[in-house]
Amino acid sequence: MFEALVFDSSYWLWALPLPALLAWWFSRAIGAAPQPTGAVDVWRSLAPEAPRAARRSWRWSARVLLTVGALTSALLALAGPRTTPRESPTSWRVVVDASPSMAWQDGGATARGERAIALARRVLAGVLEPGDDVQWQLVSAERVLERASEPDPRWWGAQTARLSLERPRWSAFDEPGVVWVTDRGEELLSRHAGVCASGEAKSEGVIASWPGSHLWGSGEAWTAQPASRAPRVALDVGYRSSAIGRASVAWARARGVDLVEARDPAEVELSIEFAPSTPLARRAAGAREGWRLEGSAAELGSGTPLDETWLADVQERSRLLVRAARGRVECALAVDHVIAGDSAAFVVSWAELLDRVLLPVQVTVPLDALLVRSMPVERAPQRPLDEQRSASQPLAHVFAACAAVLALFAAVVRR
Amino acid sequence: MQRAPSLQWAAAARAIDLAMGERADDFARVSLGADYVARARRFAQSYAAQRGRQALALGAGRRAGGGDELVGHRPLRVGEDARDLDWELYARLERPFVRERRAEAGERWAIALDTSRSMGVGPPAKLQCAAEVAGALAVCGLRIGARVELLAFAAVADERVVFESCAREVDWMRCVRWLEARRAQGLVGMARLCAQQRVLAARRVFVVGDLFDCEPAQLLPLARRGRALCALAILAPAELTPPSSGDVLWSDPESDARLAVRLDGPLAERYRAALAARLARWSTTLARHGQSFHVASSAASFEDVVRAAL
Repeated sequence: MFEALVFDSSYWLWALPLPALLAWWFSRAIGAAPQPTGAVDVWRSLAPEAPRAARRSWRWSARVLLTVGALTSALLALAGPRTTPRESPTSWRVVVDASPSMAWQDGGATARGERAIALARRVLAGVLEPGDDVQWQLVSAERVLERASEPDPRWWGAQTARLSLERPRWSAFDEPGVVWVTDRGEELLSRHAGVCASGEAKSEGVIASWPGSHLWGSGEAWTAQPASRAPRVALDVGYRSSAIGRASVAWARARGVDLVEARDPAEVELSIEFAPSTPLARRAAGAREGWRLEGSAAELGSGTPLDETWLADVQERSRLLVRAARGRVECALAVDHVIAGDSAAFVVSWAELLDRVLLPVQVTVPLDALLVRSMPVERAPQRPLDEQRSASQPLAHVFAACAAVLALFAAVVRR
Repeated sequence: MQRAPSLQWAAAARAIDLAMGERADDFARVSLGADYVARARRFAQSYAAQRGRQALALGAGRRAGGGDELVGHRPLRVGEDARDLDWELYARLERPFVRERRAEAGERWAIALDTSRSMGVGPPAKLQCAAEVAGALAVCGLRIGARVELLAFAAVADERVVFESCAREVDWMRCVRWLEARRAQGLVGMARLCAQQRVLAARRVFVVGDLFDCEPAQLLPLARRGRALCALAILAPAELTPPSSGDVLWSDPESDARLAVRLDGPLAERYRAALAARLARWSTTLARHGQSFHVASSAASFEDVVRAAL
């Protein structure tokens, strides 16, 4: 709904008192409306002039009023009136790049992600209006991993970087009211979204990692270096005797991975977790690649967008038995599960899974993140209501037409 | 005319009004349509026929000599000189009649029309009524063979006289067009118009206006033996019978004099009495010299006014 009236040249409004002054001047008290007569002398011989208080105060002439109306309309037309749409509060979205390069510090003290977030805050300060709200989103590819009213420093921390997530598919987030936050923004072409990029500097770091060693790159040379420590895998001792536990122990020994008790996920490269047994556990069985796991199973809690289903119940496909994500494997089977079928194939499958989800000890970044240079980018986003703003209606022609019509009437009216 | 202090502001306001474009079209104008022309011709025909009947009935045809032709009789007016009283007719009818004489064919009539600004007062505007009366007088004169001349002042403050002369009834439409061209915008009084040589040379003079800008004594030079003078005072209804309550600012269109008056019944009555006294003074003064004076409202029909004048 259009409600507000704004003036592009509001200084013309200072002249508005002028028509009022003219109206007062031409209509001020002289007496009652004059009536022509040839007998003024006769009247003068009979009656004294009436006291001023007895006279009618004002005489308003239609010509004066029409002229004043025309002047007022002309002044309003000169002031450039325009209607503006009333804007409802805007909900802004900030899409934060979840890729590992956001954690890179480029030799400085602050990570690229932190610098990009600071740019985003500055851009938002320029567009936010009272009533607007902002939602920060951590995005990998097209998946929104986390949402918050304030960005979490973990998003550009080592923990998230070790997940080696993808860059957002930016085209899916190119809308008015959206701001992209990333480290590389020069190549990004957005139609509606704003872009805040920290910029990149050539640097060096780990570009590949496996248990016991990693590949260190500086752009010109690549060096295999021993890892600072062996990867740690958290596996509760009570489960190490189960089929999954024994397979995990064998894998860890083969890979040179340290098995530890369950602890903070930030301190380990993989957590193998088992759902606590409950009286509600039911028999379940999952099968793949020639083997079968059977046993009582609890219900796994809600997962994250990064989770993948590795094993589901053969009877009830929606019932997850093993769920995995980078750095985490969750098992719904109780410790008494058994393997049926080709147990060797199970061990191989399990090892492949653990190889895939094991996090690197140090953050690794893609090679191009070390070689590419780019400048910081700061582009303001488009407001969601900008289409309506461009359709605000100018009213100068309306007031000008009114002025012309009133002036025409003032010219033809006799009094 | 003594101005009240407030009139200084009134004069300033008047000047501003003029600066805002008071146009000549604001002055009263005359409109004489086909209906008026038809009515005036019919009236003239009726007047000529009546004159002819009067002449036959009262024994017209005796020549009075001196170049004057006796054309009939008419009732004696109050205050009129009784030397033309027809004593024989009085003895026969026991009613006073005076001999009406006419010069030989070619008698000149002068009709002086007041076109001062006060003639724009109305409604209906006095100038409209005066023009209708003047036109009817002209066609009546032309019908009975007189040479008629209409006179008025030319423009706002111009003492140049414009006139239209006709000797034949077929030329009367020129008089009509001349009358339609008049505007109530003059500032010069009727007394000066009546002092013009063309007026003084006429045998019969009609002065048509509101007569507010002159006194009876100023027209007495017209009232000499051998010349008939008829003064017709045309007044607006509001001038004859003003309202009796309320506040009003009377304004003189010619001098721009203004007078604020609080009206009431007694004041209105005093005005009517003063106006009647003024009009009576006109009537008495002219009648004393054998001339006639009539008052009419601008709302009256021209036939009634001309009938009284002739």
